[in-house]
Amino acid sequence: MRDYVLLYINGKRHQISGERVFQPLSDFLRYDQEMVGTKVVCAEGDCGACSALLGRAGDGTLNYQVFNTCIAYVFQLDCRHVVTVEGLKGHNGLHPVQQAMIEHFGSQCGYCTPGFVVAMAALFEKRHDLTEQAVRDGLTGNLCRCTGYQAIINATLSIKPDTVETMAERFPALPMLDAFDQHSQSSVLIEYPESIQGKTIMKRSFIPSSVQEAVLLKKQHPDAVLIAGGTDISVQMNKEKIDPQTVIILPDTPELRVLELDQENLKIGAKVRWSELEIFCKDKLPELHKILKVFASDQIKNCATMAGNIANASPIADSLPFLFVVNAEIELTGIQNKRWVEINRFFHGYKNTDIQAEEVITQIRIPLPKPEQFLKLYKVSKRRDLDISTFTAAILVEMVDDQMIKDIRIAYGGVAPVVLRLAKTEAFLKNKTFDLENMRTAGKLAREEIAPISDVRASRDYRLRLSETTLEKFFHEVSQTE
Amino acid sequence: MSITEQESAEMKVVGTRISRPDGVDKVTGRARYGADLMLPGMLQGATLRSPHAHAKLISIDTSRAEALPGVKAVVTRDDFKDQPSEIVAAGELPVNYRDVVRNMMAREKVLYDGHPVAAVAATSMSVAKKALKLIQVEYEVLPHVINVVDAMKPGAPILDENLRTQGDESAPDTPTNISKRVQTGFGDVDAGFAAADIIVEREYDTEPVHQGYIEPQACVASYTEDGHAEIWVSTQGHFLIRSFTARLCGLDVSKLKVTPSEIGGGFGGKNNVYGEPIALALSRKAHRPVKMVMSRNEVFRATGPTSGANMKVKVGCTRDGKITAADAVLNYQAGAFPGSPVMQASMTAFACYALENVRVVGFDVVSNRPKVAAYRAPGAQVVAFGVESVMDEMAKKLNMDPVEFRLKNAAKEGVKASFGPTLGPVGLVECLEEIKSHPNYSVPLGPNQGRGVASGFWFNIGGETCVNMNLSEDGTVALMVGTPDIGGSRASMSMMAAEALGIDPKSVTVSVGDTNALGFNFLTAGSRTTFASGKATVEAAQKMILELRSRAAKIWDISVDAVVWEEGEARPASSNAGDFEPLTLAELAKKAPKTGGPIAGHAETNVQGAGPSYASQVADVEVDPETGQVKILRFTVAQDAGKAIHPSYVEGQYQGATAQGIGWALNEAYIYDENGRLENPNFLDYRVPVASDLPMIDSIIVEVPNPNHPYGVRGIGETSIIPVTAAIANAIESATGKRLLKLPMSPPEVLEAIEGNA
Repeated sequence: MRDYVLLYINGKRHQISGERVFQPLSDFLRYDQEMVGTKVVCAEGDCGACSALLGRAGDGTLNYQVFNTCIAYVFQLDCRHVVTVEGLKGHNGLHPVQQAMIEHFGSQCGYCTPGFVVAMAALFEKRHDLTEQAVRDGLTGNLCRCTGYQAIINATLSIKPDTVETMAERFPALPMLDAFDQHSQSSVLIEYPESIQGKTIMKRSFIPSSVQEAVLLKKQHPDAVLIAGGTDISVQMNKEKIDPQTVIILPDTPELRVLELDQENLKIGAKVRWSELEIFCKDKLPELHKILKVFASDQIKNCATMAGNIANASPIADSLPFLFVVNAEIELTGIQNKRWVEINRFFHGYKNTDIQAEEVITQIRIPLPKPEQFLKLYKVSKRRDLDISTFTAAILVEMVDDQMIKDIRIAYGGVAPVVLRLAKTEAFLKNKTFDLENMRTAGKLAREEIAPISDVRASRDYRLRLSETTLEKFFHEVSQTE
Repeated sequence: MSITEQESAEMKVVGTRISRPDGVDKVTGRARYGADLMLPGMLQGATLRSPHAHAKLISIDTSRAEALPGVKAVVTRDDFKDQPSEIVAAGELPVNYRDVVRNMMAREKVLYDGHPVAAVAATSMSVAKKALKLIQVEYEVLPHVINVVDAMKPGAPILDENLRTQGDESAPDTPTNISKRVQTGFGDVDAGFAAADIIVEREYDTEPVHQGYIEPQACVASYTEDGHAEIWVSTQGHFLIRSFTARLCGLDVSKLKVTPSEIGGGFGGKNNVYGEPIALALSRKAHRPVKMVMSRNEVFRATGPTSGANMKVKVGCTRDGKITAADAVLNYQAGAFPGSPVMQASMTAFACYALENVRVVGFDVVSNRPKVAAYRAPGAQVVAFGVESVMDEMAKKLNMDPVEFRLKNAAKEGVKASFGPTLGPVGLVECLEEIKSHPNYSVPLGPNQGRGVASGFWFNIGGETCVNMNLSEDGTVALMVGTPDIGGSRASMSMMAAEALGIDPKSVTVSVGDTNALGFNFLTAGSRTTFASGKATVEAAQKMILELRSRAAKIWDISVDAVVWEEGEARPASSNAGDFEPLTLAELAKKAPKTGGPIAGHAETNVQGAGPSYASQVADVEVDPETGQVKILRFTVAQDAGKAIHPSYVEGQYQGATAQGIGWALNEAYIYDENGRLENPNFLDYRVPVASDLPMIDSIIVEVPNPNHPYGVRGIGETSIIPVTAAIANAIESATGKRLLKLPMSPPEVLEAIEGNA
């Protein structure tokens, strides 16, 4: 059992143990290392000012992606290489993105600039050519309040991808890969005694090396918080809403990293990140891909997982309505056995799921829509991108003779404490003609099946309206497709 | 000082697009901001804030916090002397010391969710946070009021029993939340409406929005045993931080040195003191440096925002499109203490129009919200939503193109401005002509798409300015200004200095001096820095040139009048003066020890003659009829810069101001729950635009020179935020036929407007 996190920062090896592991990487960088180029602005993954590049081992090299250091605790970063803004500069001077930002006047106040240059550098790690839209989409995880973004977009577009020295070229991967290889064989336990008001609590961070070990640990520590990507848990910790005594990091085992299509099912391991799924489903499930594009920033998608989204059980989780209409199944692994739960029976109430104390989510199995089925996903939020949804919906319809509804499944999010399948509305539409009048009537039924609340994102009334108009919108869109 | 067209055309540096001197520091992360200073022995400060919107502060017990290992100091209201009522200029909004001390740290009452109650300094942030939880505060919760209209009603919860309405003789001598009534205008409004064929009258509501600067407030304060102190701080005005902090902490002003860090945005929100006196008081108790850094939650709950408002706007017009009268009543939220920008709102409301009969009445109203701070053209952007919406409706009723209607009534040189004085040369007509002829104005619109036009006006200011220019021994120039560089002003200063001296801007290094290095400088605010510090820089350069000529005269042993300064060197004025090889800056610098010692130029001045800047904009939108979501398709901005010193930075200001206006129009708002607690104090729920929300913002720089600046500069930082909300509202109306009377125009509001109250 190892008692430290092995983390490389800008090529330099760090073995971190004790209390220092229990803080966001941004604090470790700024306070412990006095590397203050990385800025903390929101401490919840919304603004990207703290962005750095996360190098993970894969295919015999290190692959670098942008992530938010404010919501990545050090205990999540074992066997990783982090490149901060201070590490971007290469042997030949400034990184091309840094030079371009100067030449195109991409900074005004400059406070967001370190985060932007890191996110821009990430866009060139694969040396792909980028369209303006791709740049705008790729930088949605970074807030700038001064420029209106145009100068930053222009700077990014001015860079020739093939002139960029990638991080794998900049930092020799082999020594780090060797060290990661040696270290990843062993499990990790980091502890430190925290005392407050005369009481001492032992804080623990476990990094098991297998699913079985994770399950056992979960049984031994019933209050432990299980972390996959940690993009939500970390926000709650930063806001002092939770202060877990024990955390267990779900390991990157081959089983949890599976991402494959077998005949009719898409299998997604619990440690598959959204950005990987986004690429994977681009051709195989374009409707899901469309939602994933605006689902979150690159920073979030490069860490967060679908399993985390499900376990977190938020009624506005963007992936859920889709999973509800395709009848996805969730694999729960316990100490002795595995079981599969159909997602429509998985949620019992607000933040209440079917996961038992000694179980973890290990895989999600998604039956792909058949060619004769139409699928549409909707996400309504204040802003187009990476916003918390006000309302989400998934509608899947199968017709006979192009007009008779053989089967229809409707799931709405953000309208009740859990994502809902609209059983009555579905029953009404079954065997009816697929026309505007029926869809309008269905919209009125849908209003009655839900119980939305008013909150900061929207009023109850607006959600009721959307529940009605969405069915009409679906009709128009399907009609146009035909 | 003025320049002719001829000279203007010969400018070599002004108007070019040089790389900024601080560019490398900013892209490498080396630039040091408020939170980036680390000192030996430094403590972390943290603030305990009120969870209540309105409550009596009965008692504060800090003993358990003080006993926690690692806690080195705790301060409360008892550590600050009360201040008498005294109103002073503080940036764009006047403040009262009595209020400043209470806003910094609550005394008798807490007045808003987030109001500071106590603060601690500890060896780490985690200890400081634990200590805050150990402070016991006893509150007596009082009824609260959030909305401005509610706060004005008889029987509303009263924030300050001593408050009476100033400027209103008819107001009763009883406690009120209306702190002030202002009125501007001239002519006979009633007669004007009587002469009108068409009258449009509407009522509008807007929500407060936050400046949203990316860098949270941060400072490091250090107090020494001999009574001197230093503060490192992210601010728009370190001289004002000095005067306020010295006053609140009972120090002589000269014993406090304030050094401005790099500043990560401000937009008016960093004109005030917040944590600086608290950090200094903690440092004085702990005998160690103390860093205070706000979280985003604290930034939203306790700094900024700008006013929300309720307003009624009424405009009368003849059938042929001539405005006969304009009238408005503005109710502006001030937050917990008096001091909204309602005066600026009143003065700017109709400043885009040539009017004979105009009246604006404004009320400054307190409620249980954070005290408002300036925000980019404070006051003007709020009222423009109402006024420019009414003008659009009027143009529609007249069946006139909205640009034509505005041109017909446009304020121009020689017109008596709606706020009083007669206008000098201004560029509104030029801006309107530019947008009218821009290709974007004739792009065909598709289904659910619409186009909207609006204009805006901002005064701009000059103010107290002091700069030093020193010739270094190698002939390069070190320029020190006292206005923090928030958006590239070191570049523009180096350009103006280089232009005046006839040298390469790379030979001029510009720094922002601390409060001991220069005389008093007013804030970087009111779009004044490039204008005022720029004017002072040119004056300093001219003084240095005079000294350089006299040194050359001494070397050549001729009269100073016989020496001219051309292209960066001293030359004999003519062949009559003698036959001498020109002396460059470097040569004069080298000979300086023998010709009289160091060579410098400086300027200390209260700069007058700021030129107002007008802007006109066109917004194209598409509205989703099923969700109410508004997408901005195109945005065109024309604004008068007088003269663009660095055109790329001018465009950057236009685009940035517009982007903020788009956020204001579509998403941003403060949302309170029934207990008066802010529900969205974070970027997750307070949504500012990201790259994919915005279109390309086409920027047109109009140049109608300001005769009061050597290169014709007008302030340009603010005006382009003003027309945005109305331009978008007008575009939504053009797309849907529905007029929105409330900001933000978020999807639910737009959908409701489209569908009616179904």
